Amino acid sequence: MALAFTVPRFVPAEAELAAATLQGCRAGDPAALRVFVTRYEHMVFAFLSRAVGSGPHVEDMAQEVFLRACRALATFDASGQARLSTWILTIARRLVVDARRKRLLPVADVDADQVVAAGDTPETERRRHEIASAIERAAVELPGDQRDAFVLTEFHGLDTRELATVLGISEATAKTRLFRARERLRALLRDVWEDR
Amino acid sequence: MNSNYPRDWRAQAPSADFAERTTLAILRERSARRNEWGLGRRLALGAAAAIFVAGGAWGWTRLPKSGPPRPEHGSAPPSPSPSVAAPSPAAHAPIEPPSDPPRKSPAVTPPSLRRKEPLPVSSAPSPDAGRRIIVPRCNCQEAICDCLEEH
Repeated sequence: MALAFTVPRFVPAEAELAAATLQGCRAGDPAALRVFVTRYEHMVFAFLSRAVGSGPHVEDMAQEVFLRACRALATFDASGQARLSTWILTIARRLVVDARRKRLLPVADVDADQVVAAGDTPETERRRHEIASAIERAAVELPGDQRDAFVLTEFHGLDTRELATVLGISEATAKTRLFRARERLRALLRDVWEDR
Repeated sequence: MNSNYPRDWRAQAPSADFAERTTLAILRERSARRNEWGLGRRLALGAAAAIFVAGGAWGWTRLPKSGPPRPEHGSAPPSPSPSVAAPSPAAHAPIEPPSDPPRKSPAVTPPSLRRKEPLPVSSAPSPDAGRRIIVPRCNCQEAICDCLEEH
């Protein structure tokens, strides 16, 4: 049975931050900064929690991402090819790499409260919980690079070019990395899928 | 068969006051950096001024020492040059015509030294005179004698 991750790709519904707001952030306007953080906090939390596992450390890392982003905001070229969200994800990914290198991350622990969605029936909910736990366990088994590639593509809607930019690699390498991540996840989740 | 099960992997959501706390942290860091920048700029300016003054003082102390060496350097070349050049004018000056100096002028580098040499030679004839007494020994035969001594 062939499995394919053909999830409808996550495409951010909202547009990127307005130029005026971005200018306000650069100038240190508190209201603009609050809009900036509010606009991208969910994206940053989603990436970090999937890349390094959920927990209180995610909040610290997310705050560090925004601090770094604000420090470097003057260097961001809004008229360039990179979107602000991609740029922030690049910062977040670098932070993840640093944390992995320094081994600052706790052992990934699947938190049932975090992964369970509101199901229709208790049986459905239980099943979703199992699947979600299995996915998270499988993702932990992936090497960090492959995990990042998978998360960024499947959950943040990055195309190959953006993925290559965020990971700091060539497009061909990004494609290969994503392919291997998917293959590995398929193998790891085969049992879960066959039970379904 | 397709699957949408990656969607079941729920992400952690930010806390309600995360944006507020993060904004405050950003503003706090900005003001701290501004203060640090002001202090750093003052320190950098002070350090640059100190280096400038120290460099000037060092240069000032070196300047008087670097003045005298110039005359020393100027007088130093004449001391080696007599070993090369002095015998030629001293020994050959009376004998040879002034056609020699133009030939040796390319070998002896500074023409200014050659101009200065005749003056000391002419002013101090006594050491050369002493040599002239000691060196030549007449080994001549009676018929052919090219030495300058009187027999």
